[in-house]
Amino acid sequence: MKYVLVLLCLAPAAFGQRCALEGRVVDQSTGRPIPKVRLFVTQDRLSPAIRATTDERGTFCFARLDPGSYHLLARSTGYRAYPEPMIYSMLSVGSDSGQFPMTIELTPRSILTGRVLDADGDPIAGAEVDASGPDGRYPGTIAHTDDHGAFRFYDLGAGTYHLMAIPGLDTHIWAGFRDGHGQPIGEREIETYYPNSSDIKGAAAIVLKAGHEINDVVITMQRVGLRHVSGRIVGFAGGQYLLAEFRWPSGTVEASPIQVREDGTFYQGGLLPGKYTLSMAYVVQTTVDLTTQDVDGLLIDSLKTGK
Amino acid sequence: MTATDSAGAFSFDSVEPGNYRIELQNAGYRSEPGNQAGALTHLSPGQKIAGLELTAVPLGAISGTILDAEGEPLVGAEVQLIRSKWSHGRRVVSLVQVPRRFFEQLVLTDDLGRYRLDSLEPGEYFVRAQTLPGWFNIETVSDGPGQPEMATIPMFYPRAVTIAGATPVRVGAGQEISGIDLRLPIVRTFHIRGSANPAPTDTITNRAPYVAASHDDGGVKDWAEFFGQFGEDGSFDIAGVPAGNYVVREMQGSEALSDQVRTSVNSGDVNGVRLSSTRFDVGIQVRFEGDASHDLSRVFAHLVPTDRIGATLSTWPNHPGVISNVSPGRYILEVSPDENAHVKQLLVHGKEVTSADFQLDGAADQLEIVLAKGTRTICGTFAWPDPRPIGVRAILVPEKPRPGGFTIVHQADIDQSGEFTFWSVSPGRYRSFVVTDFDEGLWENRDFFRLVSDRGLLVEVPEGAKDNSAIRISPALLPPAAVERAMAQMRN
Repeated sequence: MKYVLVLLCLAPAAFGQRCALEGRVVDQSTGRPIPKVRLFVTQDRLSPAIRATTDERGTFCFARLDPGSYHLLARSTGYRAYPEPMIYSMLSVGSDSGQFPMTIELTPRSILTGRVLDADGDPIAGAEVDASGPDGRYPGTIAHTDDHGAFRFYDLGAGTYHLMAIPGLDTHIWAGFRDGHGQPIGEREIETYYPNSSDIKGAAAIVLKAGHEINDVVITMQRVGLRHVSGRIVGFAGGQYLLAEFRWPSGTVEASPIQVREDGTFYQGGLLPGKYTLSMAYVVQTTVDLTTQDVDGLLIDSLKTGK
Repeated sequence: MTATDSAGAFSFDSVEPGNYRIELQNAGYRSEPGNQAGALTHLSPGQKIAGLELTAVPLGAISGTILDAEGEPLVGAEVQLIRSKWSHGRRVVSLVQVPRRFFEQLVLTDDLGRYRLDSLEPGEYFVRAQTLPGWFNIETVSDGPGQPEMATIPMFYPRAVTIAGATPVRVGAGQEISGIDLRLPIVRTFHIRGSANPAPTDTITNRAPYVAASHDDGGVKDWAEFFGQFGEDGSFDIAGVPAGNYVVREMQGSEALSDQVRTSVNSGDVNGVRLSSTRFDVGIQVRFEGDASHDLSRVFAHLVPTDRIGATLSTWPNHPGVISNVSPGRYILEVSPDENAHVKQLLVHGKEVTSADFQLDGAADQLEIVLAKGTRTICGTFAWPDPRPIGVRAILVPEKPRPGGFTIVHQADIDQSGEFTFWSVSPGRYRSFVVTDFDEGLWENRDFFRLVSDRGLLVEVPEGAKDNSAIRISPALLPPAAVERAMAQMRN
């Protein structure tokens, strides 16, 4: 994390001096002055801030300030917050200054909007959309889809982004259900990179320029067939739970409990294809590979696998 | 689970006999189909049910723009929905958990100040907007050192500081209500300061108690409007409070930990508010009429506050004779007796309590519960009209509520062929109705009940009857218009 440290020193309200702290706010990309910017200085987190606003020429003036250290914040519609969130610009108002008036540059905010649809073209509500940071890591900035499947990122900086959609709670709920014929539900939406890939290699980059807006990016969520595992556990009292853990490529771990019947048998449908770790009470632990097929008749012998 | 085809038809094969509740899932529709013919389905062995017709209720949405005092969009402002409900016969205003949003995920305005609240059940909603504190407190501002403090204050739609002046937004099934815009003014604000005794021991975790001030508008509400944190010494400071009358409390989650203190903010800060809590034990005596040997260890008693939002307090299995940690206020007592027993009498200080709630003040309070045998099962039938209404439920309301029953109002779902059952009904005189949009708390309001009781079917469960066969009834549908009329006539 980058810290901006602006150290300013100022004579205590010298006679004839109009402002204790003054400066100008300009657009970082064009250099033009920005009017109606709200500026706040505050000495600590909880005390009220002292405010000022820029005029038509982009200049501001805090007439009276007690000597001391201040955080300076600036906010303007259409621009990113200054300084960026979690970076605290610090200045001290004190004895002497050669740095006034100061110039603050605001970065125009870039906007990215779109929709998340399922394979049939219907909107997916409540999905999480992650825009990776410039370094490509997840999660970056997060937005959620509304009932029309729409999302909006409105405070992005210029850069190259990858988008990933994650199914919301609604989709997760399906996993344990059976269909009208008593069979486990066959498929489910999974994490999908823009435009329609479950693999990061298929992710397309979106280049966003400062102050620009890209609209109606469509992410089509991918569906996969679900698998089941069944078997028996011996050497352990029945009526307990096995924990099935699945690790997404992004590192998220999804855990589902599998009920073990009194006779030690278990069955779990609605599982994503992939490798699972099955564990019980941190004593029994085994792996099962459901990448290409269902697994039936798995025998877990706690006396052999137990520690 | 099954999916409907393009004609909306569905089928379930090889279903075990029994009682089923059918749920619908489709973005934009209510998942709980409400109580309508077929939503509760009774399936007998070998039976094939065809022609069930379910109505999917479309959900609505409210959208609008939140602006600041200068007409600029407020970015990242929180928009809340509040509904007025009935609870134990009183109106309570409570925050609506917006559907499909993760725990504690808030509805915030975007860069243009716009918000959208979707997936809303049909009904009336109050809309409230507030700015959220960031890392720095730039919500409270001044023009220089020692100058008056000003803050952007929360507002209710259309332009009210308290809910008393607010107008609810009515959302019909599937309706999109747009243009619910709010402008939050910047006004002179003050502080409410004071301390809690004893000081909260936890001031750090997200379960740490906090201090809350709410507009003292006479209503019972389950959320607070202005917040502050406790220091380690128990001191607190609530900033950004506009002039008005307030109720101040120490809270944890949505429960009050302290007694409430009323205060007025006029033209200056309020200092020295002392928060404390009075707690005492209430003795519980349970007697089973005509059977001294009856096992009373499985009878549980619960005190539910009625004049404020607070935790329900219960007896513990290993400590049956007392309810601890009771604060002064009004309560109703709920009792869960074992099967086939009912609460015959409830006495406070040896005096029969005839009202629905009673006052508890101190450690000398004693409650006496008299149980008796002799509950009955009531089986009912209802002829589903055409078109079939949604949200239908059969209810049974005592003519004179007997205090202390676990259920004041009995309610039952009606299955596809119009059958329903009330279990374990105590002796007494009742009125039975079939209603749409059942609200238990409203039916516990005696003014309301008095206005509609004539329209109900009189049902009498005799006392001490040897015969315990089911009583059969066929109540009629109470038209929604009659409910609305009664509500309009009620004294508040």
